[in-house]
Amino acid sequence: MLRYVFRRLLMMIPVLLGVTIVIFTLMYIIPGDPAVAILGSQAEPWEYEALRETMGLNDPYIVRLLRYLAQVYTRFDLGTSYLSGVSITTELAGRIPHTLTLGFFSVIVSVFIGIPLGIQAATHAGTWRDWLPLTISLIGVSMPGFWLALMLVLAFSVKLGWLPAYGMGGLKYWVLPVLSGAFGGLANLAKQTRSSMLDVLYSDYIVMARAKGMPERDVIYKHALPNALIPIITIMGSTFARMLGGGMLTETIFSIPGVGYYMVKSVNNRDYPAVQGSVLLLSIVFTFVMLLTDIVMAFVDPRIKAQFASRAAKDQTKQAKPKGAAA
Amino acid sequence: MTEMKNNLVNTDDVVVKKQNQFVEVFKRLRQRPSAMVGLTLLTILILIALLSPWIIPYNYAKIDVLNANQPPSSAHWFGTDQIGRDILSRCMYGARYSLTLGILATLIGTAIGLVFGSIAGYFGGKTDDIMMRITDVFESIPGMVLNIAVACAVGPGFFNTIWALSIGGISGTARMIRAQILKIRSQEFIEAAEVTNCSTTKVIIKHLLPNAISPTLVGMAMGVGWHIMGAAGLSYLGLGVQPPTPEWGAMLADARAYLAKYPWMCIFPGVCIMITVLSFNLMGDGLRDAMDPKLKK
Repeated sequence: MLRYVFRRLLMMIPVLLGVTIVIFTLMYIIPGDPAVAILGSQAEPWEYEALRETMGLNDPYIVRLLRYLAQVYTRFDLGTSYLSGVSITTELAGRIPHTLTLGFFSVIVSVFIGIPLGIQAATHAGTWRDWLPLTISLIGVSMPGFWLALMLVLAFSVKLGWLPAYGMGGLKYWVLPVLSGAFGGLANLAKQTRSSMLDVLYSDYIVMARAKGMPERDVIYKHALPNALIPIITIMGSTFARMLGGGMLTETIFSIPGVGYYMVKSVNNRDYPAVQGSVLLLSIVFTFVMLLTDIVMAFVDPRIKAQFASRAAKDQTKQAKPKGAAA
Repeated sequence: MTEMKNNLVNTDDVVVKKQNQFVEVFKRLRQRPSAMVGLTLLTILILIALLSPWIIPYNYAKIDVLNANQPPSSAHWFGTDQIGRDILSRCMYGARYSLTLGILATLIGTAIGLVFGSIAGYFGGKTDDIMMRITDVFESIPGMVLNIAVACAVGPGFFNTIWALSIGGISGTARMIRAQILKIRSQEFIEAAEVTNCSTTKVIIKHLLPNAISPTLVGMAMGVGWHIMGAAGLSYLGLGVQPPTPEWGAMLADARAYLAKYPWMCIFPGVCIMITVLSFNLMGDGLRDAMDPKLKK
């Protein structure tokens, strides 16, 4: 198991390097001169030239790329913002907790509502307890999260006045962002839970469990659910990923000072190093979440574990041979 | 020689059988009420989009300050916006933008993904390794984040938004097609085509792709809905289609400031997005069920 995690971590290195190259290249091809962005349009020509020289903007693409990679991966320095001159690493470090909190609670809410909803839809297939959650989840996945956020603000802040419309503060301030963030994921989870439970519920071992007089609750939660769980966990991972992306809109609407809000603001200000840093950070978080999903999956699914165990055993027998170093 | 001919006949058979399968899928699709609801909604939406210049009750761009901020009424079913433009007309005309954005972005993304995935799947080995690592990289950037980063690089505007959205769809399609092609490529009719000196491009286009494409169709139906939401999100952030274009996301961006006082400006464009995405999702769900061999009777 440890070897599996270790190998996955190793595989992340080239992928993250690739992400850095892609995002650097994207920002590189943007027309416009960073020197003008920093100094404004009123400076003397020699001032622009001097700044370009000190920032290394006159160097060829490959030199700048390598310098950026070295800067990011050896010193964890994402550069400084054109606009404020503040280090982007510090800026992002202050913001990532908000983004993670929003993502985490949105996933929690969608799991604790979506999965039970899906289970009861599957166990009551064909009745209103099936089609009602199904309809809600169909509508839920078809609604843009940011529009739902606006509607929630309209209902709960403007009309009812129960909850604040934006800003930061106590628990109250998180209710609407988390709800609007969770709804799409909740709908997806309910849909997936229902269909994978339905796949399982008619298997022979469920019939067997019922036939031997096991209480229905145990049949559902001890026999059916664990076997239906694997696709559900995949959806949980991608829900979190969507939260990272959609979070930008949610954070913008509710003025939550997270990474997404920062990124959107930086895009509008043409503050490219900040955009670059935000994309990189969000991708790193995303990759780690996906890794975590895969590890959880390996724990839940004995088949994956077995597959890995057999491969490890094979590797060992290969290594035992005198010349079989290529494992 | 006769054996070769037999093989050739075989490859043709596969194509013919495939066409039958599409007819069969459509037959099964017709038996699903939810898919039919989706198809009907979609037909209506496409008709509205096509006919909008002739059927909208007011000019979608006409400013009428005297009638600004009107709530929904019999004269203006969806009300009017802050400078008196009729929201119903704008929503109807906006269907053109949203549908075109969603469909074109999906088509471009799928087309590039098809080429990418079939090359990786067909050649295998080193080529496959390198190409799959590239898709790994693109899949490690959360979808909306990638969209915004590309939108930032190419700038706002209608066609740039299409590019920004389509890039997100490439890697998914490529992966799916590759998996399908790996499954099919070891089958005998491909070997037969190769033995009969069929060119590589022809093998891929005539024999591999038609047999690998059905899961992509489901992905495309879902993808259009997904891209329409993405386009609305980009436009809402000011990175996509710009106001005064009556794109639904851009309309929402415009209406945000009036949410408390004139909520109908925010409600209707969102409902339009929801119905459109819903119809594509219903179609996608229906197609997937109709194509699922497990559910075949």
